[in-house]
Amino acid sequence: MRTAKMDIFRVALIVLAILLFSALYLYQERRVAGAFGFPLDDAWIHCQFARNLARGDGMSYNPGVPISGSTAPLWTFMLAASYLLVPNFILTAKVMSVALHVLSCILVFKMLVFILEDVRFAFLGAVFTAMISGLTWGSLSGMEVMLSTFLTLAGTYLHLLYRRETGPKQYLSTIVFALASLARPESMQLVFIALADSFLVGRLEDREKLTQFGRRAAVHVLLFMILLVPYFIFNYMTSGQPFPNTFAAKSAGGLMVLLSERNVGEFWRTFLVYPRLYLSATLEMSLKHNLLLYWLMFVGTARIIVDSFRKSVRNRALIVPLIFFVYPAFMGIVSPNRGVLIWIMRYMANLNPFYVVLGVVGLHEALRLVRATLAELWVGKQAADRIIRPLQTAIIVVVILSLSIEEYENSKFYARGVENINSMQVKIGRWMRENSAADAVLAVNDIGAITYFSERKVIDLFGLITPEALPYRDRPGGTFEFLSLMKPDYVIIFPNWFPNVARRKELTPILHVFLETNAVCGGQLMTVYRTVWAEEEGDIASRSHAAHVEPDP
Amino acid sequence: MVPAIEKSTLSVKDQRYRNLLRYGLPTCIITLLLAYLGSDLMRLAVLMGSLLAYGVVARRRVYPFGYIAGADAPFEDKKSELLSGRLEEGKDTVRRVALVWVMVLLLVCGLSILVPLVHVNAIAGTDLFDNITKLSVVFSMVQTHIGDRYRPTAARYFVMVLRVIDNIILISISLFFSITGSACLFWFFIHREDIKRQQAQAS
Repeated sequence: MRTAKMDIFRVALIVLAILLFSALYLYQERRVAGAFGFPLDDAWIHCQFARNLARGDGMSYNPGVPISGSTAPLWTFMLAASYLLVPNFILTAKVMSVALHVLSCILVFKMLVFILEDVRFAFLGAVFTAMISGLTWGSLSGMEVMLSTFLTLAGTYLHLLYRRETGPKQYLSTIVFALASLARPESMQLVFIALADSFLVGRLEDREKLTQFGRRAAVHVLLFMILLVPYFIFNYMTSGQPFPNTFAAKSAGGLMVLLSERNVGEFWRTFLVYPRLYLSATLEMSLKHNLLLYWLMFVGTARIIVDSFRKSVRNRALIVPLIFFVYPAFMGIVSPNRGVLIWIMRYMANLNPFYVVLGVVGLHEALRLVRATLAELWVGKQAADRIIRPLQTAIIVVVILSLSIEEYENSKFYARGVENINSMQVKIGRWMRENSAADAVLAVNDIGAITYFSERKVIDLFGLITPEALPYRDRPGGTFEFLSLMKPDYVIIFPNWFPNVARRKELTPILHVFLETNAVCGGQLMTVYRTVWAEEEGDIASRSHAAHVEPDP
Repeated sequence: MVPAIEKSTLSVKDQRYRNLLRYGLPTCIITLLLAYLGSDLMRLAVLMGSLLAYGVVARRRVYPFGYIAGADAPFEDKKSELLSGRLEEGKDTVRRVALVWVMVLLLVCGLSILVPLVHVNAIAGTDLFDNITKLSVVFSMVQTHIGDRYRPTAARYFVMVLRVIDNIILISISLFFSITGSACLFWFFIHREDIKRQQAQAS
C-alpha cells in the first residue's frame, strides 16, 4: 500500500477543520477591521495586475504598460480568470486558496501513506496541515501562498510516485514544478532538488548508469526550460532580465550580486551568512508552530535519511528532508531578500507541509521505538501497547490543542493586518480616487491598494513596477532626484522611510493617515504630499484639497 | 518508514549485537546529552536510572530483542531457556562495566556542574510544557474573568503547576533514556561475554 485514497469522511473532516479556522479568522477580521480585506498590501498588487488582465490591458500595472512586476504570474492569471466570473477579488482569492489548502492536506495524506504505509498517521498529518496557522493565514491573504504550497506538494508527490518510470509519467513532476515556479520563482530549484534525489535513489538502487541519468536529467531540465521560455521572454522584454522585476527589486545580495560585482565579502556572505540565516529562520518558523513537532521533525528526518540508504526499502523519501533543508539555504544563496525575515517566511510557506510530514514521520518512529523498547526490554508486548495507546492519544491531543491556540493567536494578527491595510492604503486609495484628477500621477512606496482603489497611474519608488527607480533607490538623495525627473502630482510615502524626501519644500502634506496599532505596515504614519510639479501644471482640482489636511499626530 | 521486520540472513549472534547497538547507541548518546545539558534534577534522574538499570539487569532473567531480531517464535522458545541460563553467568562481569558507566555519567554531570566554562543548562528552564501546549495563552484569556484580588495568586499557581509538569516530564524522559541506554549497554557486554565464552569452548 503505497497509494491510498482519502475516504469522503476524512475529506469532510479536513474541510470542516479548515472552514472552522477560516471562520475564526474571518470573524476576527470583521470584528477588528469592520470589513473584509487582505492582511498585506501585496495582495492588492496581484489584484491590480489581475484586473488589468481581465480588462484586456495585458500584464500591466499601469493599464497598457507591460511590466513583469508579479513574482507569481500564475496566481495573477487565476485571479484574472476568477474576476471574469465574480468581480470580487476578496471573495475569489479566499475561496480559491481555501480550496487549495484542502487539496494540500489531501496531498500530505497521500505523501505520508507513501512513506509510512499507515493511513491513520497519514490522516493525522493532513489534520495538522489543516491547522498550521501560517497556511490558514496564507489561504486568506489573497496571495499566492496556497498555490505555491499546493504545486510544491503535487510536484513532490508525483516525483515520489513516478521517479522510477521510464515513460512520459516521469515528466509530470517537472511540469508541475514549472508551474510552481510561476507561483514563486524560488521554486525553480525544486526540479534540481528532485533530480538530485533521482540521482541518489538511482545510485542506491543501482538502477541506471550515470550516462543514462545524465540523459534523463538533461531532458527534464530542457522540458522545464521550454515550459518557462514565455515567462523568461516576457520578463526580459519588460524589465531587461530573465526574472520578474520584483526579484531584482527585492534582492539584497547573494549569487547574482556576487557574479555581477565579484565582491569577495559578498562571497562569504553568499555561502556562509545568508544560507544560515534563511535556514535558521525556517527552523524558527517550525519551532513557533509547535515545539514537540519541531523536535519530532528531526527524528523524522533522521528516520527518512537512514531508511533511504537501506537496500530493502523501496519508498525512499529523501526528497522531503532535501526540500525542507536545501530550499531555504539555496534561497539565501541565490537571492537573499532585503525585507524583514518574518515577511520573507511567506515565500517559504510551501515548506510548512514538509515540516508536518517530517514531524509525523518522527512521531510514528518515536512511538515505534518507545513501544519496541518497552516491549523488548521492560514490560512485554501487551503492556507496551497499553502504555503506548494513551501516550499516543495524549501527544495528538496536545499537538492539536497547541495548534488550535496558535490559530487563535494568529487570527488576531491576521485581523490586525487587514485593519491596518484597510485603514491606511485602502483608505488613501479611495481618498485619491475622490480627490485627484483622473490623469494625476502618484509616486508611492506601497503600490498595492492605493493603485487598485485610486485607479491612477503610479510610479513605484521601491522599483517593483518601475525599474527606472532602482538605480536611484539606494544612493543618497537618489529618491528625490528620481522624483524631480518623474515630476509626479502626488507623493504618498511613509515619512520614516524617506525622511529627507518628507522634509523637501517641494512637497506639501495634504493628508496624514496614522495607525494606532501597526502590525504590518512599514510605518505608523503615511502621508500624502502634493508636489510643486502638480502646481506648475495647474491642477486646480487638487488645490481645493487643502481642506483635507489633517493635523500631525 | 515501514517498520521493517527483516528476515535477515545474519547470524543470531550478529542480530543481538545489531539490535542492542541500534537501540542502545542512540539511547546512550541521549543519556549522555541529558546528563550534560539537563537540569540538576534531570542529572540526578540519569544517575538513578543507570543504577536502576544495573539492578534490573542483574536480577531479571530476560533475553531482549528476540522478536525484533526476526527469529521465529519456535526457535526462541527452544533456545531462550538455554541462552538465558548462559547469559546469567555473564552477568557477573557486567558489574565492572556498570561501575565505569556510572563513573562516566558522574563525570559528565559533575563537569557541567563544577566547571563554569562548560556549564550548560540548555534544557532546564525552557517552559517545555507551555511551549508544547501554549496553555499560557488560554490562561491569559481565563485570567480576565478572575477577580483582580486573586489574579496574582492564580498566575503564581499556574506557573508553579507548569514547572511541576515540566519537571515530571523531564525526569521521566531522563529516567527512561538512562534506564534503557544503560540496560542496553549492560546487555551488550553480557552478550559479548557469552560469545567470547562460546568461542573459547569451541576452540
